[in-house]
Amino acid sequence: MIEFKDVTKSFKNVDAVKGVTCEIRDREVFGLLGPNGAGKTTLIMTMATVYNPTRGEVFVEGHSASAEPDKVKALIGISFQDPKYDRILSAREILEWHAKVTGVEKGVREKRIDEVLAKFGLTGEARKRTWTLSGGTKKKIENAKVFVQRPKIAVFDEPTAYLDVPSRLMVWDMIDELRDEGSTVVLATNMMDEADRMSDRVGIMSRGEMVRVGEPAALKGSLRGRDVIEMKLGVPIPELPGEVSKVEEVKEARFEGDVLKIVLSNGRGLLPHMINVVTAKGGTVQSVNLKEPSLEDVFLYYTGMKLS
Amino acid sequence: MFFADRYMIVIMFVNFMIDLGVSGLSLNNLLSRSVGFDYFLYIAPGANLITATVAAFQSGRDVWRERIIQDTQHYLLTLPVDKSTFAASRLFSGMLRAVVTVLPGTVVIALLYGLSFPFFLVSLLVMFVYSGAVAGLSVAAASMANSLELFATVRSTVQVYLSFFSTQFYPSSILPPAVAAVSAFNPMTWAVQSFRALQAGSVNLGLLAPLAGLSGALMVVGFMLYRRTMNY
Repeated sequence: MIEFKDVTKSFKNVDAVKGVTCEIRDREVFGLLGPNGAGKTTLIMTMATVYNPTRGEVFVEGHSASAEPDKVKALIGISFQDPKYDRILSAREILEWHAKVTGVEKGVREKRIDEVLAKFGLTGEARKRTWTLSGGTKKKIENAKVFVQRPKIAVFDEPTAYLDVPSRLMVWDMIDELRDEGSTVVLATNMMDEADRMSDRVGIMSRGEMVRVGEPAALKGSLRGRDVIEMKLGVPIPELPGEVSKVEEVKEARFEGDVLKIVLSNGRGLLPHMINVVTAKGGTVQSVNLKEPSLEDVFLYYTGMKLS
Repeated sequence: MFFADRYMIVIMFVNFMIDLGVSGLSLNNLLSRSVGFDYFLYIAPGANLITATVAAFQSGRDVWRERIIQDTQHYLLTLPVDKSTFAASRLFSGMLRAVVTVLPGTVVIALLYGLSFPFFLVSLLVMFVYSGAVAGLSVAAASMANSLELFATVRSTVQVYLSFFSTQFYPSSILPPAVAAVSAFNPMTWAVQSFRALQAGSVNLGLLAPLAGLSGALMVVGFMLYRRTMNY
C-alpha cells in the first residue's frame, strides 16, 4: 500500500502539491488525473523519493520515503512522460542496464528483454542508437524499462502518449498483465478513456490538491443530475442559451460552434421539452445527442475547468 | 556503455601523438640547447596528462548531460542506488576511463623513458590520481553551471589553469614568481613532476603526496556539489 499523509511539496514560494492525503491499495490500478501543472508528477516524484516533502510523509509498503529511500526505491519502477535515458545508447543497452541496476536476475534478464522488445516490435531496432528513432519508438522503450523490471509498484506517466492505436492497446494489455502478476500500478494520464478503461480507482488533482478519489463508476454517479444534451442546429441563434436556461433543471447552456450544449438534470425526461423550446424560437434541430456524465465530465467538474 | 563514444581511445591517442610529435619535436629543436636538457622528453608526460585531462573531464560532461541536456537525473534518482554511491561512481568512472584512454600514450612514454614494469604501473597510478583531480573539478563545474556558456567557460579556464599555471611546459625555477607560487596548487605540477621522477629512477613520495592531497580535496568538492544537485 502507498499512503500519502498530508503531503505538501513547495518549490520556493510555490506549492506544487498541497496537503495530499490518500491511499493507493495493493494490486490496484490507480489512475492519477489532473490538468497540466496539477501536481501529478511532483506527487509521483515525492513517492519515488526524488523530492523530499516540504511537509507530511509518504509511506510505501510501510517504509517512509524520506527515512528509508533505498527500501522504497527497490520497490518502484517508473516510466516517465518524456523518455529519460541516454540517447546515445541502444534500446537493448538501456534495457540491459536498467534491468541490471534494478536487480532483475541475470538468468531471466535476457529472456525478458527479448520478450518485451518483441511485443513492442522493436527487435529489429534494438541495437540502433535511440536518438535516431521516432518519438513513438522512444516512448515504447521508456515503457519497456518497467515491463522488463516488473516492479512491485509500477508507475506510468502518460504511457500511451505518442503511441499509435495498436501500441496503445498493447501497453494497456501489458499493464493489465503487470497488475495480474501482483504489481500495484499508478497511471498518471490526461486521457480519460484510458483512465476509465484501466483504473480500479482514480484520484483527481487540481492546483496541487487531491480533489476527489474514487471508483470511476462512483465518480460518474456523483455527477448524476449533470446530463448533457447536444443539439446541432442549422443556424445558431444567439438568444437560445438564455431561453433554455429559463428551465429550472438547466444548469448551463452555450453554443460551441453550431452545437447548443445544455447541462441539466433529468436530461432524458426533458429532452422533448428542450427540442420544443428550441424549435419554438425558430431553431432547426439537425441532430440530438444525450450524454450521461463521463469520466471526462467528472474531471472537468472537479478540476473546475470548462468544457472545450 | 563505459565507452559509449566508441572511438574515444583512438581519437585521444591520435591527439596525444600530434601533441607529442608536433609540439614536442618542434619545441625540442628550439629549446633544448637553451634549457640544457632534452625538452622532448621533458614535455612528453605533459602531453599525456593533457589527454588524461580531456578524458577525465568527460565525468563533468556526463553530469552536465544528465542534469541539463538529457534531463535524466530524476530517472537515475529513482533507481535503487544510494545517492552517495552514485556521486562517487561518477568520479571513479571518470578516473578509470581516463587511465584506459591514456594507456597507449603511457606505454609510449614508458618506452621513451625506459621504465621498468613496476615503474610503468606507478605511472598509471599517477594518471589515475591526477584524473581524480580533473574529474572532481569537472563534476564541480557541471554541478554549478546552469548554462552551456558558463560550463564551457569554466572548462576552458580549468584547462588553462592546468596547462599554463603548472610545470607542464617549464620548471618552476624559470616561471614568473606568481605563476610558480600558483603552480604549487596545481595537480598537473605534481603529476608531471612525479612522472619525470620515474625517469630519474625514483618513486618520489614527496611529489605523490601533494598530488594525492590535491586530488582528494578536489574530488571531495566535486562529490559534495554533485551530491547537492540531487536534493530536491
